[in-house]
Amino acid sequence: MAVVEANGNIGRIVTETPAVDIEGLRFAYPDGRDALRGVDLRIDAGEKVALVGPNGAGKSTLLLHLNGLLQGTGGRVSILGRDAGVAKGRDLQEIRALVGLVFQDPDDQLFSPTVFDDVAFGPIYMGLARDEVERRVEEALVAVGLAGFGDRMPFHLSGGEKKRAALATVLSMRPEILALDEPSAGLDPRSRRGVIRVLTGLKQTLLVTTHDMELVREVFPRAVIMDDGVVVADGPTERIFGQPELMEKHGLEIT
Amino acid sequence: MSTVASLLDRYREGDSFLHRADARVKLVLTLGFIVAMTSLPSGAWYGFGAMLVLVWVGAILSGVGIRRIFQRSLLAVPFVLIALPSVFLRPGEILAEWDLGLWVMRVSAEGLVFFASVLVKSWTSVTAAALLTAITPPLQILDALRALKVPALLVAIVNLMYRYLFVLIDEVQRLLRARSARSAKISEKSGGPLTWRAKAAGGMAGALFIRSLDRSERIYLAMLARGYDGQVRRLGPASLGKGAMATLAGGLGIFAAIAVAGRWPW
Repeated sequence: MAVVEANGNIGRIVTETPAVDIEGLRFAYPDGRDALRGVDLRIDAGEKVALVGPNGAGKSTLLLHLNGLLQGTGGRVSILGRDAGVAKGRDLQEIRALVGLVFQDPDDQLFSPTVFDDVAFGPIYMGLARDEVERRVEEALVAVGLAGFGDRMPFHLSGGEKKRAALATVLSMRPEILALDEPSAGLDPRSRRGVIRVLTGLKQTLLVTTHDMELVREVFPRAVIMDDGVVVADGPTERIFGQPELMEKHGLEIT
Repeated sequence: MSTVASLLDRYREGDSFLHRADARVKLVLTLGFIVAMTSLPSGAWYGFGAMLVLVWVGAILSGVGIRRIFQRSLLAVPFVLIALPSVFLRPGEILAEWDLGLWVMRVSAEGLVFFASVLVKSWTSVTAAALLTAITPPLQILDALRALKVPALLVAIVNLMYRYLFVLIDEVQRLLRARSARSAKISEKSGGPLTWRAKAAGGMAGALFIRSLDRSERIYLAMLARGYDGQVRRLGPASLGKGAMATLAGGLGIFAAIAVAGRWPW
């Protein structure tokens, strides 16, 4: 493992409990395919981290571990001190409220008949009262620049609007950590710009998978390269991007 | 939106007071209308007429128009044919008679009145339903059903269906387009033998099924990620205002009055 730097947050005050602390995480899909073969990753609260690497490297699979949708066959996943690798029932629900996970295809993320219903889904399952649910929906839609879109049907939204609505569906849960799967994929330049603007404004801890190197350079001070189920490089974005042979080896191109 | 999808959208945009009325009130009134209509005895022409006028007034006031409602209500006509044998089978005063050799067909006056009544009743009821769907967005009708204690899981399934029908139609169209793009017609006789084409169509249906299955799994994960625990939960409906209650009571009262007065042998 060619670690560029063990920890990307030199110079920051390291809090006692990291937002995400993954050690030796292993996972194999039921068909026997090894998706993760010992992933180590530590992210402190408030960090913005990009997760890059070729298709099939295990990036999306890793995101699914952050809130216990998948639980590893080995290793440990700790979310703000809670063990997501073994959590069940209420503990698991708590972790899911802490980690906002947004899937790549907004048509999977937006499953309700209207945008309002979708953004309200998380808060309703958190057991919040009606007016609090409505307040949070409003707040989340404003945060992604979709105020007044509540009554719209997801089918009638543009690609960029869908992506931002998908983000709102987890922002309404006020998570501490956001795990986004390719937020800028498949968007035209203007929609992509809109998504980037939203991402830049977010205060939460961010872990984002992407193939969009421009986006990484612009928004994420730290980059992590994954390939074949392990973290192969981790460090400040500029330093990672400054090693063309490393990038090329893992199928990455800087435009 | 695709043509198929637009066919599914019955709702007509509008801003009449009928459009703005609470969907629960409209749904209950429509059901009350249908109950009153069906409870009228056969041959109660004044009652039928009064009910039909009510629907038409609704159609005019909402700005949907009688014409559009009429077109949609024609859907009911084929189903009425089930009642056609009653014209010949009901005992009563004989109006016409044909000897078919094995059997003598007799048209009875009672049978004719009965058939005409069934026709008018079902057609008017469907007209009322057509008016409801034209002035109420489908999602509000679903919410109203939920408020009326239709099982939440059932409503949730219809909601998901409504959400993904369009996505599915898009997917089908993409598949069809991909096929058309590779179906160049070189000679008059093209497209391959029937069995081969059937195989291709079967493969497409299979691909669509697998894609839908994959999607449903991803949707389920997305629901789990936001705390879904197997229970269907939604915000409770807002309570009905005084005006809505009055409209409801008034409407049901009128229907009941017509249903009772219609029994009178005028």
